[in-house]
Amino acid sequence: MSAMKVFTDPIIKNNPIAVQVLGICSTLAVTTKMEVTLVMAVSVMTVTALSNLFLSMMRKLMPSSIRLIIEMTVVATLVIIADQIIKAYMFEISKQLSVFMGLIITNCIIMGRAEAYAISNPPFRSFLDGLGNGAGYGLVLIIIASIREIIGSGKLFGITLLPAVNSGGWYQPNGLFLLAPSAFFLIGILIWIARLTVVRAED
Amino acid sequence: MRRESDLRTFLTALVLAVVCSFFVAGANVLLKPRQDMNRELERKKNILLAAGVLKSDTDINKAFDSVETYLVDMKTGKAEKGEAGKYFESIRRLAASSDAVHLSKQQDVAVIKSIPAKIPVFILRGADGKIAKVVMPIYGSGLWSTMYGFMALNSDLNSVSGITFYDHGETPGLGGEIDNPLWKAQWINKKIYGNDGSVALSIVKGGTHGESQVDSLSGATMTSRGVENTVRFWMGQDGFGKYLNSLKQGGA
Repeated sequence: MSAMKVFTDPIIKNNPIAVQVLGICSTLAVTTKMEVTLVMAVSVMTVTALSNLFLSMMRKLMPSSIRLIIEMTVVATLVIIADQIIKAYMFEISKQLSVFMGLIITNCIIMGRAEAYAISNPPFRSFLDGLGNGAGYGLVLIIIASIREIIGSGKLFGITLLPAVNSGGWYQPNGLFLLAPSAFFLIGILIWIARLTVVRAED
Repeated sequence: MRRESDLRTFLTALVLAVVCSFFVAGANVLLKPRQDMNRELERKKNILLAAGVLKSDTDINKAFDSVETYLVDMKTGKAEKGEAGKYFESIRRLAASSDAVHLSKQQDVAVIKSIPAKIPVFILRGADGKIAKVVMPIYGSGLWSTMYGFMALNSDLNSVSGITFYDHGETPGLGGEIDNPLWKAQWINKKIYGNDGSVALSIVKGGTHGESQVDSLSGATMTSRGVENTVRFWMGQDGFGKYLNSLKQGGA
């Protein structure tokens, strides 16, 4: 597989959420507003890429008995640093991300890619794989967040598209889209579409 | 040394732990001043917002220079000038410390168990040197979280100048609407106290009547009740009631 494909494959064809069904949990939590979602997507992309890179560099040194612990430690360190940076430079957004930033540690995509790819591939390719998977995750997050923000609060990036009744407009926002279950439906539909198109084309 | 030997495993773990903790500690030390500054700015912004003096072009730090900070002794209601920073950094720890004021079940309407012994209030004075606004920190339990905010009263120490919440974990779009400027605007000029001096303010469903009622948030009954209880507690005799009484009688 060419290096380019390592990066582009997980964005659509092997999308971590729609096809590999990894990292669903955080997709439910942080997709109510586009702005927050974007920061989350970029953070996950950075963490996955860097954790893949570092773990791949260490792959020949790691004793197999504590392999998972090492992976966890590296991922946790990266997430804490990312969390601290966001708290310092994007305070408003960090307030909305609250605990979910720290919960990137438990995002299945990161450990999943470390285990499935980084520990058996060279560093540069692992880095690309992490970047690609992060981008694939981000893509799904952005699709879901744009639907949820428009239907749930009539806004996109905090800019009013449909003036809500609460603020003197005509649009009655659908509160369900601000709650986690709506993301379940949307992800379900998305996975269904992905299976119908991308995966079927593969077979 | 074999890759799987005990010693090697131990050494790898040790080196990794040291390196990682170095980075984590480094990030924390380097970024802490900026994070603290963010939090302080946020707090000042909310105080000015509650007092109704914040405009979009206000320089927050500059505007805050004229705000006087007093520390109120929650047992006696007496106040003296002081610093507020310590309180906001450690509300929980102060509320659990040995000199905290413990609340009995009947007193504890805001469901917070105990409150710090000393709580800062912020006073804005008019050009004539008289009190124009009093801003008090309030907090209480909502549906999911403890909601932290400020309540500001006008110079009559009865009508609301503004209310804000700067930290809460209520459901976005439902209880989270306590942040909605339109809902907060309803509070302005509502009377906290009735004629008998007790807290009269209430949050009601379906249309407000009278000068002490605020319309409840739709879809967020529990959060609305939490806000009502929080206001009732902090404005009552176990909250800032004693302090406000002493202010009315012409104290500081």
